[in-house]
Amino acid sequence: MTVQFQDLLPPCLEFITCDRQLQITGWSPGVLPFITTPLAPDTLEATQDIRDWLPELVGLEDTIEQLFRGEKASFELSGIQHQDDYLDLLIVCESEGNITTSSKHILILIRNASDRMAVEQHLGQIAKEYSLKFQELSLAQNYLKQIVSSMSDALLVTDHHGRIQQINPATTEILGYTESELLHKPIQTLFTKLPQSNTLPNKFPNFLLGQDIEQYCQSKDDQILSLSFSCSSFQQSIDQTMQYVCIGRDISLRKQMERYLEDQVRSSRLVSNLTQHLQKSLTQSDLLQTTTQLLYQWLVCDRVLIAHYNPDGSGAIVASTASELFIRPNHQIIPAPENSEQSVEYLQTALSTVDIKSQLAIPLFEEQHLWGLLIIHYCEREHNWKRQEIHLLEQVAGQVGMALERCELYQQLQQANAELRRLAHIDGLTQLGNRRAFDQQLQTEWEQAQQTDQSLSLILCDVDFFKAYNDYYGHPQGDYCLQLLGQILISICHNTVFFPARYGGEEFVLLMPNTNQTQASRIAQTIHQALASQALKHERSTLEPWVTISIGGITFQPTVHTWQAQDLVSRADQALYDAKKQGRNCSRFWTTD
Amino acid sequence: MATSAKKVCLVGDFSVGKTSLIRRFVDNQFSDEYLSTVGVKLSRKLVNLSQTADASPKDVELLIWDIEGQTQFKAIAPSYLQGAKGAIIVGDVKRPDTLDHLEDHIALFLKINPKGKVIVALNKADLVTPEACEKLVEKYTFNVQQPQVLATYATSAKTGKDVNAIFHELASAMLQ
Repeated sequence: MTVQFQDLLPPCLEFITCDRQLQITGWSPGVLPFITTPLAPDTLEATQDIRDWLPELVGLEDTIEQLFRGEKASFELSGIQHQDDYLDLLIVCESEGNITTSSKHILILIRNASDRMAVEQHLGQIAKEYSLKFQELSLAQNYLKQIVSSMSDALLVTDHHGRIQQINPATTEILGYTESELLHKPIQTLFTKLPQSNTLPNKFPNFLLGQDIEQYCQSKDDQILSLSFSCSSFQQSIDQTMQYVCIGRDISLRKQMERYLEDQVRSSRLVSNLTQHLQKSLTQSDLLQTTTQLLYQWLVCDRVLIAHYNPDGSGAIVASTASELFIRPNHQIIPAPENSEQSVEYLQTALSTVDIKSQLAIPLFEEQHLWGLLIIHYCEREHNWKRQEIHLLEQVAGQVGMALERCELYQQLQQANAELRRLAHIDGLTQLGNRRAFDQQLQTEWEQAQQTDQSLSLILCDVDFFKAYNDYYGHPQGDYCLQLLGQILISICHNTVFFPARYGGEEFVLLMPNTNQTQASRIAQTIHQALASQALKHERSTLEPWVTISIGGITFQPTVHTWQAQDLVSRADQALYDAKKQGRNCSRFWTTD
Repeated sequence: MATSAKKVCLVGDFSVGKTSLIRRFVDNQFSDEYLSTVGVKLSRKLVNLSQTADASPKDVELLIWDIEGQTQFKAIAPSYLQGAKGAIIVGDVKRPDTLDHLEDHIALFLKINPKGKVIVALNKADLVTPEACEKLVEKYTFNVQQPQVLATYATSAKTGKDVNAIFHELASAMLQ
């Protein structure tokens, strides 16, 4: 390498040359600091392998050969860190002397690039760190976006006015609105109704702040959805206004289930309650009225009716919750007829004129026969009948049907009991009350007389010579005689409060409330006359040729006497005894004498 | 040169851990601090290969080129790759974009060095679960389409996982 070439180089540029075998052939004096490495030879000498000083050339043998062959003009490696410096290497092939000779060298120009690379490193470090941060942010943003997108709950972010700024895909899915349809709209527009205190325009509805705030929302397809909101406020930075993030969970299905369960519980309660009431209702009217009232309260309807159909097709409204049965849309009341049972014709007429928005009629069966209809009316609003409601009403109708059967049986039982009671208190021969009936009536009237301080009279009648009559005329005639006397007593007591009874054998008794002795005496006389007018033959009587009776009477005055009820009978009996003693066919009243 | 010296390049996007892999391999050291590489830096490591093609132990000196990583604005200089016998193409398991660029880096290297050998290193494997590593290795296996690509490893310069393995496998392949 010539000294002249070195002189041509700028001060910052050094060089080293080698031949085709990569043996060093020359170098500039200042090159050594650039190429010295711990692994390099101790001294720089000609014929040394240049790769021992510049290992960067390892692998570039083919490239250098291309340079020798002139296939490549130059080869550059820039920014190689070599010890503490950065170097730029420019490798070219140069000919010494005549260009035609083959004496060629590889010239490696070396430039210190430390300053430039230091700047590049500094700027690159900043740029790469920023880039990494940006990537981290992007990842975090994507991460958040993925979280928000994968949420099954609606997420809405609003500004401090409550205007929607962001939504997630679940919001669109739940409510059916597109993003553009919701953005910048007040969040209140989603709600079906708001509490009065929270309807201020241009303000976030504060009642939403908190957890599990349930709110009804209207979807785009007009469905009413129940959403549970959890909302909170946040401020991105101190100089920015408040924002609100609302997460809404669609709990419509849960609410529906809750309502279903509540309805189930209410239904069970109603059926149980109704069953209890029906069991207590022993009369049909009680039963039907109880049913209509309970259903009216439970269904919150406008009217509950029960119609009864007779086998011949006629029928009547037998129970209703409305005193005025029907009210026309113009508020004109159709008065109910005085008869409590409305005719079916009346019902049909009335129904044709009233405004019924929804009605349901459930058949009532008694012993598998159609007994009537249970009718529910909604007049103010339409009512969508739920399957569950209908099922319940069918259950109720079943219970009512069974209760109707029970009432029917109870009524029959009551009638049978009444007949038994009647038979137990009636004398079969005369159809008058018997001794048992008389004793009960005496006790009742005696207590009544004491309470009202009114006099109570009693007379005992005995057929004179009845044994002789019976023996002479026979028992059937004797029975006829007693029946005749019974008829006389019944006719005398007609339209009075007197109580006639057969006391035993041929003895009859007549209890006369609120009757003094004078009146009683007159009654006794009437009996004598009535019997005499019948002139029933009695050839064995020593008194008259017809049947006569003796009468003993007594009048009890609570203000005077302190007797017991049975004292009246014994004292009347004493009077009767006196009448017989006096010759029969007469009346005697007990006196203190 | 006394022993066989082979030029190996580490190629990949910036901050995937190329310098750390070299430092772990050459000096068995690791630092979390990020200092970006500019230009290129050479390191040397003598590798003894006990299992070679002719069954005799051999030494090979790896001249490892730590090449400045690719950024959005600066591509890898092809001149750095010139004459390399092998390359370790590095990606970061936590940065999907660096993994997506692996194929481009392989293509660039093999374009300049058609006979070069390549190993793919999915670095920073300590940051993900072994199961995730397995899936990534499966996803970024290229040797079916490109026989020059020897294998894909999930590596960690931090723990040393498979660091020596990639260099040794590459060195061994380069000798054949």
